[in-house]
Amino acid sequence: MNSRVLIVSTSIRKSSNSLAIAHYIKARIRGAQIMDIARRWDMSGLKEELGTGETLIIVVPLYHDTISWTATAFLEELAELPFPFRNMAAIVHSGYPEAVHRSAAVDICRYFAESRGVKWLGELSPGLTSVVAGRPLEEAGGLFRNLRKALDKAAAALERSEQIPDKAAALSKRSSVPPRLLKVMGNISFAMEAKRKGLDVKRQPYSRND
Amino acid sequence: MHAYMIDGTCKKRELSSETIAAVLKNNGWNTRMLTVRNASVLPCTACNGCSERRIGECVIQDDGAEIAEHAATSDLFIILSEVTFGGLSSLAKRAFERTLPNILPYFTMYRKELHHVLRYPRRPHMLFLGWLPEPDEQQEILFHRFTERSAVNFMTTHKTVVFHGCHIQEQLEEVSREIYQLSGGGL
Repeated sequence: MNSRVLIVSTSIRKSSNSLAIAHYIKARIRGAQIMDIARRWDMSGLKEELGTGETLIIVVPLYHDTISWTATAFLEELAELPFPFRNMAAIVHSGYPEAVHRSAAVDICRYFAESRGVKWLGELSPGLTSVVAGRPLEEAGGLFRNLRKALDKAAAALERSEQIPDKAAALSKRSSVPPRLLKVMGNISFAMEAKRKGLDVKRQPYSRND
Repeated sequence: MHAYMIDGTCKKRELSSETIAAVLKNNGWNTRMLTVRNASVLPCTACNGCSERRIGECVIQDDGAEIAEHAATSDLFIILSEVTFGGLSSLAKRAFERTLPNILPYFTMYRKELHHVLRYPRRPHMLFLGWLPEPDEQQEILFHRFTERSAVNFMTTHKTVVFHGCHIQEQLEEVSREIYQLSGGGL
């Protein structure tokens, strides 16, 4: 897959929020292509699939405040190859509104690029993405206005192989919902869903009585 | 006291899970180990089975199904891994993600941050053991940051030691001291 800009969606889920972000940015960069590694357990054979190009954009969901297993496995395999791109950028996202959850993951991606001698073009670090629920970002409503603006600005820069503007990076981190409000809204929604489905969500199969 | 160790290294090294287990045994710990490279541990697919179908349990029936149980019942939860770009190796990360059943969908504020509520009020101390072939300050700083974030996520205490290929013995002594303290020796 030779493409000027390759966007790799590293979520393990199909129809993921990572893929929704990848599609949004692909539509704004001429000649960009997407590689989706959902449900891929074996990363061998990447060399042929990646081809060569100008910029690699990795879209990474957060698991336990760091990059996902899939993203780690992808980077491990990539590290074994002569790096097939000149530049790299990352979009690290999660459901948490606060960017502090994503900062170590962003730095891991940056370290990877710099340690391979690849030019780091920057990152976006949006939160609240669990609300996207795999929908196209264009249809995800006003909550994601900041994210769409940040992606628009980032896409314009990445198309020219330029650094993601600081403004776009800052905008991507700005959540439309404060954490305390999300806590209340989320808990009400989860409780209602559990009641509707008749689930004992707080079951403790491994509780220890000491 | 019960320790559970995930060995997520890609090959057996001088610093092995057996070496660590021997230190633990000398301090009175009963250790169960999962060596991921020799086991069948599929990745968590975020299928929500643990919050809907078999609540609190992983629906993937492989060697990784025990991880959530031991993360809930052990006194000490250890992850051994090569430091990989400042984080865990993919083997260690794949196993670590299988602790997902111990996390509830509900939110709480912890240290002024939004977090998921944990299923069990009792949590093990975490010990992260990273391995690097040689000192690499940048990766070590990143590894410490990542492990600190993990401990915050699990709302527990932790210790992180990064071993270098050439200074195993000295650092093993540091781990021994830590384990001795956890065993009540230094408290």
